Amino acid sequence: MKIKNAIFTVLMAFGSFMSYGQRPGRVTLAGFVSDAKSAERIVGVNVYVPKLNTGTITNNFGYYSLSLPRGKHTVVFSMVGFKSQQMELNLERDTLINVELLEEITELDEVLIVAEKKQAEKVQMSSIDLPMKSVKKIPMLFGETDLLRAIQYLPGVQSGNEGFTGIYVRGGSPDQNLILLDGVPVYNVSHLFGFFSVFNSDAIKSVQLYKGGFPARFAGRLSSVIDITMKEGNMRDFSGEGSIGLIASRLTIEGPIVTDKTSFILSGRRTYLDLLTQPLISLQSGGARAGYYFGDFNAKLNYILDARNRFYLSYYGGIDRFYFRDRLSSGFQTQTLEGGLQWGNNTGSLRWNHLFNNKMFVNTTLNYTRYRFLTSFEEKHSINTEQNFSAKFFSFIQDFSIKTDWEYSLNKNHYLRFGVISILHDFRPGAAEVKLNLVNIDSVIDFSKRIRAIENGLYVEDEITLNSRTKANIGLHYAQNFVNRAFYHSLQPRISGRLMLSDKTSLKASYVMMQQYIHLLSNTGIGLPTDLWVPATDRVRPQIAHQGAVGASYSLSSSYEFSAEAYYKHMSHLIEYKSGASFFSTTDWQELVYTGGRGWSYGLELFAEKKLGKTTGWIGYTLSWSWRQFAEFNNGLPYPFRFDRRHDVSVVLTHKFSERFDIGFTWVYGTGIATNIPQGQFATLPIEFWDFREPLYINPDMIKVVEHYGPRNSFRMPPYHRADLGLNFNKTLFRGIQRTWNVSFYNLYSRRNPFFIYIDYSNQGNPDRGVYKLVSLFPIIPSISYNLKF
Amino acid sequence: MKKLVYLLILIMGIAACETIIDLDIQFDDKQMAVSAIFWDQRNPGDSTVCVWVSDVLHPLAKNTSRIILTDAEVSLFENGQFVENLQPIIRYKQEYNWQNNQIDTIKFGYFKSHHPLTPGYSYKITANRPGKKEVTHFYIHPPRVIPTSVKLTNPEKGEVTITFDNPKGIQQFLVSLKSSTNRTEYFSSIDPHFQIFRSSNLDDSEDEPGAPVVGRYGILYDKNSQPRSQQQFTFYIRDFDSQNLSNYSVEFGAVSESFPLYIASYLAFINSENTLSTQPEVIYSNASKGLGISMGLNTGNYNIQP
Repeated sequence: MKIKNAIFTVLMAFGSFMSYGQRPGRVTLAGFVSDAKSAERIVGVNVYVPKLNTGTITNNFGYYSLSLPRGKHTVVFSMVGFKSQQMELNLERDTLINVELLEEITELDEVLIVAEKKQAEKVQMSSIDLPMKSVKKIPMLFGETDLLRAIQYLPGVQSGNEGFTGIYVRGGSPDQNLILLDGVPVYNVSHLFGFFSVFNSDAIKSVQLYKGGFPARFAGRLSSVIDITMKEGNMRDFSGEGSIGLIASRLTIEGPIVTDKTSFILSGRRTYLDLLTQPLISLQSGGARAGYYFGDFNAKLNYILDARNRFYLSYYGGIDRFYFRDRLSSGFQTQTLEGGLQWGNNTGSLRWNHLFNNKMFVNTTLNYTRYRFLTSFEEKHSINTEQNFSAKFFSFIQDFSIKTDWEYSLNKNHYLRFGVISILHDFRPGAAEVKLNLVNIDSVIDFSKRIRAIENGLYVEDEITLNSRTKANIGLHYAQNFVNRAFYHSLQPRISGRLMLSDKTSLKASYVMMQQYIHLLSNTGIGLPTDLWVPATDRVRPQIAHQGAVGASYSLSSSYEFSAEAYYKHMSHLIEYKSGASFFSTTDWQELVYTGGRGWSYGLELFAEKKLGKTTGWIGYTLSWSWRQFAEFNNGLPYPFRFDRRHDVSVVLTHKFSERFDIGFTWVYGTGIATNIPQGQFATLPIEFWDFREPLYINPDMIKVVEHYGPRNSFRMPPYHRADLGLNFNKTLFRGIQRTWNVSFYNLYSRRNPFFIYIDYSNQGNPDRGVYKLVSLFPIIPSISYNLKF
Repeated sequence: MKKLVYLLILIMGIAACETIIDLDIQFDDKQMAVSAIFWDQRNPGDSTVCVWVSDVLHPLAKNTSRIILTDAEVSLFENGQFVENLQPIIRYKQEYNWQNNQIDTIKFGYFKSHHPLTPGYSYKITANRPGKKEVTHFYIHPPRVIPTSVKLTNPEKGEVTITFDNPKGIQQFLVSLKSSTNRTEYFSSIDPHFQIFRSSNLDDSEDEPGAPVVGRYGILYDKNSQPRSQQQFTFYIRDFDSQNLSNYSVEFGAVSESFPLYIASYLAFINSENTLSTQPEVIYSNASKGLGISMGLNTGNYNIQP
């Protein structure tokens, strides 16, 4: 009976809550905005009513909802890269209007001027939308367009080392980034040890980066959210694009299955260095095969059931594989040796968009994601098969999750979002499978215990309009985590606010608390495939961060925007490998880590962007400090984080000379990585003979000379700087097929940037001393690729 | 398997560009490193303070044979009062010099004092040498912990239990076992409050049959240690000869906080493969000025009671 009463009370409360917004005098305008050419929904479209100085932005599914007074209104729908659409509407009741925007290369548009001002009015701070069109213009290594590398050019985001796609946001480490592909976390985002990201830019529709001020709907990581949405597939025409480059080729095809009802997109990419080098390897090694390749495959199915229901089924699979195989013959016996390394992600999601009414939109998602690392070795004998032997070492993390996100336009002053998520994490940090015919062994051994954890979350956020100048987004995220015998939970407040000082200038502030129930064990901190994802357990506590930020933004005109943000972030319960520990260990990982680490970072980010015109791009500057402190390191004193970077500058420019020729240029500068090199040598007490009293103490063999390093990470590598240039020669061929020849120069002035340093004692110049040698990875790298879009 | 991962990185490295660079390492040639040990006299004539003064050489210098300095002035202070300048003990050794094909005579040695140490007193060591910056160490001598019993609690297993009161909640101890005839092993079972920090051989010859003297040491570190009475520590003697209990003795006492920190860092250092691409292990230093370690022990020898 009590349960019935409770349910009744909740329903009544929900009913009154739902009807709260239905006040006389106001109506709700809602709908979806899509691309007129492909019917693909557009993320981040400004929906704006100039007369009332109010508006909103379409969500990840192109949905918008706006509460307006009854009567006539002029509503503007605008988005960079699309022709703005202005509609005169007489709204007498709740109205559903779906809008299609025509693609256009706009250089200056009066309507857009109005709309673009609204960008500065966004409540969300520390967030940047990165248009894929801009990303594709940025020159890249080997001409391979790379989403994560483009993100590294934004202020507050730092790259790890030469060539690496590791992302370090506001002093956080790479595991603290929640990287979502169609709402599914991707655990390892790099190919070839970090030189390329796993995201095929041809299959990506939009990217949004959050560095702070996280809305309550995001949780589970401390430092950033990178929300990547895949294209949905063209509903009206078959189209595609492809590229042939020096090291990889890719192809994307999309089109309708049933026009305006069902569409698909398929996209694949593969490197072929192994195919090119295979003959040389075989020649040199007498027939042995060895090679490396990576590949990706994206697929998405998009089905419109009716005006209010839509389904998406998406899949991503990626693989990196290093392999070798050799055959040795002696007499009648043939011995085959083969093995290699293999790692990759698989993700899948099924999403259901449902529009209850003009005010309420819901997205429900079933997700699966897995990252797996495998290394194997096998020895086979053609005759003495009892000597056959194979061994595999593998680790993985996989998640099954269900999530439902609701959006509700309560009234003109409140836009609510709320939802629930439940994730089943399955961690297998290290296991070996051994088969040995000789002693009839065939078994799997878990060096670290397989652990399953359940993470639940419940959130609510409200975008509140306090008055015409002041808006806030106030939210709460409640998270809980069950693992082994431990139970962790937290209530995480998320607050951000914006005050318009004038039509052009706004002040913003935010405070967020984040908790993270997983850790990444890394020897290098640069994101190798061997890094292990492990859960918070009864012995290793979850990571926690508090971050506060204040900022200001200023729109000089429709084209130019400036922003400045200062932040402070504190992190606790960080972990690090103990000395000498690594992923390949027969010891449970919990025995291999130091826990209880602290970290804090603070800085100032400046960002100037030009959005329109023939020349577009941005200049970003970050002044920052990032510290770590572990009782077990550096005498317990704070030390700079390895990727602490005092100054970080990025310049990204594209210029369109004509329809047939445009260029992209980037320049980056960063303070050198904080690292350790010996700063002296001295004799110390050896403890192998540690009865220090006479006579042993004066034994000359006892002298133990050791290196003096100074405080941890006290040495700075030389600064990193590099310029890249990309030239695009465009031409429209027959039937509207567009081809582009891209010529890129990575590291234009061939700067010898530090990759690592080692000591060489075979110095011929000075026999008394060794020398430091610096290895830089890439001199100037020219590349060429041929791209087709049809 | 780990090597396989790094093989790929190596391949990339080989293909990469290598440049000799002149790194500004800010080497300070005026530094010295001072290692100081404070230890109660166990035998008449034993030093109580031993100090070893080292030059700090350029990190890439190849020849380190003259790194020990014997011409420094090393002074001892007790509770702020000057006690004495330590006496240098100088020795010589001969070493072949590959550069000039000659035999070099190299001077080395240390500094010592016999000044009796008092538990709870603070001591200061200063080391000075022309052209070098002064090195200063501060040290507080730990209290003497006297066991209420050191008993053979299980003759069959060779189990020995040390019982002692620990009213001050001391957290660092040293335990060593001396045996004149047997191979020994201990620390295989201990009080759950203790963590073994190190068990070490005095001498590698112990594994040879008939090795006459065997000693093993252990530093015990209990970071959660609270003041309590009747704290216990248990260890086992391998191949225990119960008929000759008098062959065994135990050294037990408190050590300074710096002792286990230094030992842990030293062991990590020598067991690590310090490369310039990973976080190095760093030798613990607690000098107030300059480099080096000061640490000490206050121990006693005890016979095992049946």
